[in-house]
Amino acid sequence: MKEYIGYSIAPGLIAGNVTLVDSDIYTVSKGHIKDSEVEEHIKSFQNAVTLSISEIDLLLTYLETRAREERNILQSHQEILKDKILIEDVAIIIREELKPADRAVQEYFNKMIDHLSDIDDVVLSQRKEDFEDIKMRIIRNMHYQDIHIKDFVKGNKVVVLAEIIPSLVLSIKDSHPLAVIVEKGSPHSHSAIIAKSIGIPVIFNIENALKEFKENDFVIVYGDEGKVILEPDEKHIKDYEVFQKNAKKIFKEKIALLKTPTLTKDKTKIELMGNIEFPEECEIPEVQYIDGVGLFRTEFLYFMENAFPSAESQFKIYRQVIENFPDGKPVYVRTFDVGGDKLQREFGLHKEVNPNLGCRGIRFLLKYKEIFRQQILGILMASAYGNLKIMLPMIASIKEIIESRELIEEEMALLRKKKIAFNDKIEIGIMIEIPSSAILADQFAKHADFFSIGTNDLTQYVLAADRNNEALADEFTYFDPAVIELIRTTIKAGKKHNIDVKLCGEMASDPIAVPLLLGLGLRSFSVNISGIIQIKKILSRFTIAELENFYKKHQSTSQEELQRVYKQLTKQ
Amino acid sequence: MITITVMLTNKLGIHVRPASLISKTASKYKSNFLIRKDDMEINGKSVMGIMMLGAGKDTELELFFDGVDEQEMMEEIVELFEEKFGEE
Repeated sequence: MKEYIGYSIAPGLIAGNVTLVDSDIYTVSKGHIKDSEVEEHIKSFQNAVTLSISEIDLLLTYLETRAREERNILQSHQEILKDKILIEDVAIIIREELKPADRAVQEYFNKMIDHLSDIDDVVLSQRKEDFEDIKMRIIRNMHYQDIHIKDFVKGNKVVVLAEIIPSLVLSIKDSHPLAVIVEKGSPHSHSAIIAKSIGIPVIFNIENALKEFKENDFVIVYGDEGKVILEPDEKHIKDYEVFQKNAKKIFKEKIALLKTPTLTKDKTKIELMGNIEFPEECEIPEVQYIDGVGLFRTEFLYFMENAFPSAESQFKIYRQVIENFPDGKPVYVRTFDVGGDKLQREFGLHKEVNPNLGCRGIRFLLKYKEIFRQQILGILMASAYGNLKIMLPMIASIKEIIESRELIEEEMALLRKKKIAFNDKIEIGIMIEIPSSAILADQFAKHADFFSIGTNDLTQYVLAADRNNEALADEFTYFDPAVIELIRTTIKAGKKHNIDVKLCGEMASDPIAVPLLLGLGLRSFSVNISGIIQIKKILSRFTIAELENFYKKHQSTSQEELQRVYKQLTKQ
Repeated sequence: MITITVMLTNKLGIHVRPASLISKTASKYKSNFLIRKDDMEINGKSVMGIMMLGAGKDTELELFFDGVDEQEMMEEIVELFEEKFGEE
């Protein structure tokens, strides 16, 4: 018996025989290519570079509030991938030396790496690792373009792979294996998020799995703990059998809990929704059985393709999402919240010294109206299939709402003319994340069908504290009394004008902050999927009256004190 | 053509960030830009090229600017070196 520990990506417990998918993704081709194949190989190389760039973009969106160091490294890799001369040099090797694309990449980078090894400078020679990394990323992306997992997976097996990319996760799903074990991979990657939705246990980062396991070895996979046991002993097998008997019951209990309405201790109904980024996430039980999707981020649509998709292809995605909710539960689609810092190149925007204070969110959309129109058209067409709502990001003035509404009206007119069905009563609301909109919430409410408070940006703008600056992270939080006051103002304005006020920022997923928000009058929470069960339990622990009193008692204090008392309150 | 010699004074030498800063800045101009270290000469508009130099702290580099906007290009590039790429 031997035990292996990795990252838990998707839960579940299953036993079975392994099958190794030794796809040999890093071994490059031998020999030479024909003249007629040159262009095809150059194209495949260029595709792999483009894919690598957008892959890093995607990684960066996840790392936003995390590891700064890792961000810097990835950004520098991206710079190298965007180097026109790198592209030309490799193309020359393919064209002149008739080397296959993967081998050309390998030789080119190895030359660099050898060269750097000769340099007598510790700092500089460490760069070798960067080049090694970039080389592997390109080669991997080149090879994955033509791998089909179905060729490898036969029957009910536990699949073991070296690495995984999103398209591979989806093709694995179709071949119904028992579980997936991957040697490498980050829990924050796009692959990890999609892997959560395929409904089988998935574990990343079991080192050397392909060497440690042999074909048909018997293993038990503990998805919840990220653990694999090779050749388990009697005791483990017995436990497993008992578990399997109970498994159905436990799953049923979880579903039952999810299906019960979310109520406070005094039976006040609370709306509990999820934040998602990918359509596949709708299939997770946590999303299926709650009150809908309070935040569907759409930025991934851009990062997947490195271009803004057409109305038609967006329509398909929004429709796929909303068709998961035939019972009329809402999905709040937030229009693209991207900024000049990421799109400078494509749009010839000026370099922004402060991208967070620059042309992003609705400012970008109102400047590049065609992109906005395509997205609106996509959402409107999908609105015929369910309860979709439009949510506008980074609203700073009423003028921006009016302009957006005019644009939406124009697209509606177009659809009417073409006799294409859509919901002409579709709700259009705004994110409250810039202080101006919270301060004048009473006036903004007259122009919006709902408010959704984004606490991460609101905190950053109220306190002038960059949310990615770790040195400021502890001191400048959404527990700051000024942030709390603006949330209170927004909730009050919403009540007065009879529009819904939701909160979809990190704060709604923070079990310590939830009782505070209930005490402020918030009744709608949109939280990270992984936190749904925890937040549902927290919501049921208190009565509204007790939380209102608790807030009154502690309202005039510091953020540290507020954090402390609410931590105390929620401690079990 | 303008030729100028600069000394690398920042602690880490030309790692990826300075290399991309230099190449990005150079790419804004039409003129050609070459960097020479010992007997090695590379295109200053390429991140890979600049990194290949393997230039650490206290290395001397020769910069060559040649073209219609060489003066402006030289001024902006030299400023980057003088400011130690904004690192210290």
